[in-house]
Amino acid sequence: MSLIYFVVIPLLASFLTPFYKNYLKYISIGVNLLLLFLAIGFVSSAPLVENIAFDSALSISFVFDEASAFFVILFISIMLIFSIYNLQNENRKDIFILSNILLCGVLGLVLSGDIFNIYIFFEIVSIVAYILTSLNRDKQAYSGAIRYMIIGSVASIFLLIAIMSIYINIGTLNLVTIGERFGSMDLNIQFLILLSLFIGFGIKAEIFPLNFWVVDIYQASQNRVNALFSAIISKAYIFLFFHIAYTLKIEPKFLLFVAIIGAISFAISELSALSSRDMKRIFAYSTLGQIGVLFIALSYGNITVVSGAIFLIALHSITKVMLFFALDILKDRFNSVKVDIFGKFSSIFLLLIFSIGFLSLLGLPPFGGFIAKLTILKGLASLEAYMMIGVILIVSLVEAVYFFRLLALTQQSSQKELIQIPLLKKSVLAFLATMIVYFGIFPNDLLGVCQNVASSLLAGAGNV
Amino acid sequence: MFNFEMTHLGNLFFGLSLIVFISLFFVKNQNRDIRLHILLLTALGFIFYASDLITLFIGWEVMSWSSYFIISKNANIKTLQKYIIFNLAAGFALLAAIALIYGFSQSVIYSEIDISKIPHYLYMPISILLLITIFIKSGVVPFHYWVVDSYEEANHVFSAILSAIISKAGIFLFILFFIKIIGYELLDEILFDIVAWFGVITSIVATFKAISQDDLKRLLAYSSIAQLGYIVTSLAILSGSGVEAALYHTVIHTFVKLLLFINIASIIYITGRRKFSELGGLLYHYPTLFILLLIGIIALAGMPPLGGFNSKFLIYTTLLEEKKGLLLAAVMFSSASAFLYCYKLIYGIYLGQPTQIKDKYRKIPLGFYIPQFVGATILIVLGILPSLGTLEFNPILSSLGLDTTSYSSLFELNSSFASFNGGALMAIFGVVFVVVLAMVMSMKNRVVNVRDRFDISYCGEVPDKDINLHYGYGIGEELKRISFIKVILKNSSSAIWQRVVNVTQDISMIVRRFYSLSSSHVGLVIILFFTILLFIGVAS
Repeated sequence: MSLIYFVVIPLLASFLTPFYKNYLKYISIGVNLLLLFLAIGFVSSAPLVENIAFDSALSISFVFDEASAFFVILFISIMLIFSIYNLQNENRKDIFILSNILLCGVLGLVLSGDIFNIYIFFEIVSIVAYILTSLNRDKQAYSGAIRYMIIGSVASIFLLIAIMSIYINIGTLNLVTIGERFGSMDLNIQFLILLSLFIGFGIKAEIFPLNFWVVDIYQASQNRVNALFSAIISKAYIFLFFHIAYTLKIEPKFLLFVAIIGAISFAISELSALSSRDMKRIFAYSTLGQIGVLFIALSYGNITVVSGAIFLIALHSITKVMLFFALDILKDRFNSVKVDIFGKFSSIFLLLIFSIGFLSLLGLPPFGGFIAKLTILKGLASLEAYMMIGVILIVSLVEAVYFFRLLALTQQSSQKELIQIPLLKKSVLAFLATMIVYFGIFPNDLLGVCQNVASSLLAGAGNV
Repeated sequence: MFNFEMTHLGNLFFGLSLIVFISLFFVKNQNRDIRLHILLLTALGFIFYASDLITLFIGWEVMSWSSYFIISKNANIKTLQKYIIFNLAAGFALLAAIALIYGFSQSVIYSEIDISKIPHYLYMPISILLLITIFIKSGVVPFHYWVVDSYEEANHVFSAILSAIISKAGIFLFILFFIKIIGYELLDEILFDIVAWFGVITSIVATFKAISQDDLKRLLAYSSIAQLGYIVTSLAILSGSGVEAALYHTVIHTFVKLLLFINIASIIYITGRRKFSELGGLLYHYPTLFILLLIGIIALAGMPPLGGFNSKFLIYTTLLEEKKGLLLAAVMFSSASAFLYCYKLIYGIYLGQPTQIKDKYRKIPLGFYIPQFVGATILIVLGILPSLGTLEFNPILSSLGLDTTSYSSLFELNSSFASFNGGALMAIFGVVFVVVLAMVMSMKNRVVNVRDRFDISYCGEVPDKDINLHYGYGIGEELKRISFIKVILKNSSSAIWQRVVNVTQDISMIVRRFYSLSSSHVGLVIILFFTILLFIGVAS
């Protein structure tokens, strides 16, 4: 068995599936299940390194340590849920082809041990994301896709600058070797590389002020695609940026700067959501806000804070997938995503789903988001980062304003329409909601895993 | 994860909650979601019986959002926003304090928390964070902005729960943190002197606001704020007798407000009106309700012979004992002023010329009487046997490591230097009452039945249709001539909070524009950001 299967199997599946058009969805679920079993099978043998050498400088290397294992399993599970949710979506079969290529790309991103491969998978993911954006085939979708493409190419230029500078100065693209030699470089070059990496990944990880394009993209694309953007793509880049940052052992000063950027990002996006009247935009802003929190927490390099951040990544992915799917159901019914649809539907089930999702995002007990927030705050307190605690809590209040306003809308008496939800979608949503409640009440297992992941992430690529 | 312990303190608070919830269960209430009420009660159980901070916090937040869902069925969005933002702010302040304690002492179990591990300079911020939580929950001025509207707009059963139980969660938190976990010795005395003044100012401001209200529920809401002000003051004295006074007043206030809110709820149920200007003269139709309300306001005003006197007595003697003369004067001033709104309550509803006479009123379901009888009975029993309270509080005080009070018999309530006999008081008042009643009965007044308010045979002039003949609703108008009361009544904290809201919304409108920039501008921003950072980085 080899790590390369994680990349090859979804890629092969997606290229072969046009021949079996009618079985597309089942093949997709089969591939996801197979990969999930593979990943779980590999976990016991982690850390694992695999080099496929063509040339000493350009060898392809895959690293499967605890951190990447966590993300691999997270992404595959979300993709599995996505495929199951899409079982009844007959009209667009190409979404399965795209989702498989996307899975290949993000798994490659997370597993890659050298920076050139990262660039390749970066481009694969980007191209799939552009196509996914345009899935609606209307004016808005195409203009969104083009917008995405323009900004995406800016990101890849910066990434390329960083890779070139590294290769010119060190002569290798392997992350471990780069990590060993990075400190010996000229300080200015170091800074240029760091900055280019930050900009390149920052655009894709949707951090302020590089995220002004994001909300329009969310609005242009389908809800189910938004779920993938929010739960998988941005998370992969966040992991990647901090993976490289901790591998290069960069200065705490730069990381502090990243944390401040994260705090600003959190504040600005939650404030923007406050006056927004479009559900998709609100969810997009909320995603940006949570990414800000992740940047704060991951920058502090403390095991407690980082494990809280990892917990938050898992919970936020689950929650946002759930919320976007639920929004999808509402959109099918009302053909609108304005906030006033919240006053129109009558369904205890959906109300429960939205309540659990919102309360968990706000970090209120007894839901999973609370454990993440508590762990992060506790760690920040022991690091004496009081300002950050203040920012997180005060901005969370702003977040509470618009989430609770939405929940209040559902209680106002007006013309209500009963919503029938297909059993399949209902069970997917119920499963996700159960997960959120479960992790809120019994967090210890996941928290233990998160701690291992955090220590592996903090050790960088060189630990294997 | 979840750790619980039975404590005397928890038993007291949870016992009160149980009595209130169970007696309110019988009150007819159309859109009550019993699941949410059970969730709320569970959350209260978590708060009162938790033995670690996380369990406490879980209970606290579940209490906040489950009560939000309960009032969201009746209230409008603006009130709801106020309610949830203030309550979540309280929760987040608590979370920050918990995070600081947890981060340094590495434990959340009450008995294992080592306060000495926390850096000394953090004591003050932690105290202030906890005080913010307590102030918001108990509605201490200027954090009372959310209280009145929520009490007014919630359905009548839930207003009673809000006032009788949920506001007490703040008091519980005060005792838990400042006495049990941190301990009196480590607290900053000056800070708590200020807290005591906060309490008194709250009670003065709220008392005058209450007097000027035209809405029944708003009056009770302000009165609730004022009473919690007394409790905060006596807690902030930082002594055993202060805690005892606070606990006693907590118990009394719970039952008084249970009684009064349901009494008012019955009036609203019967008449469909909720303003003093629309009510009056209900005594002859509903004498039982009148007597129940009378019991309620006697206790609320802190007059003997009912239970309300006991707690006021303890508060006064505590303040005297600690030589806080100025505070004592302020408390006395405020509780004397409270007579006015108590009087307005009973006069405006039951006495005087009725503003609008209905021939037929609805019958009150029996359920409305149950909570009122519960409240009235307990207030009377506590009036006769005031040391029942001491009996209940002594184990709490000793478990908190505070001095307990001795008592010779259940009839007698002792403070450090004064005592009174509740049984004797009740007997004297009973005798006087019987004598006065007999005298009144023997006077044989001619009772005149006024058919409607425009029956002018007893007036000097013909009243206009717009002139309200009932004096009850106008009680307190003349107070506005006193300058400092005018200041209190004219100003309100809502202007400040409204400004905060407006500024936030303006900022929101501005920053939102960033996210609608065109692609070329976004690209420009990115490159600019890169360039600026590059210059800064290379320069340093």
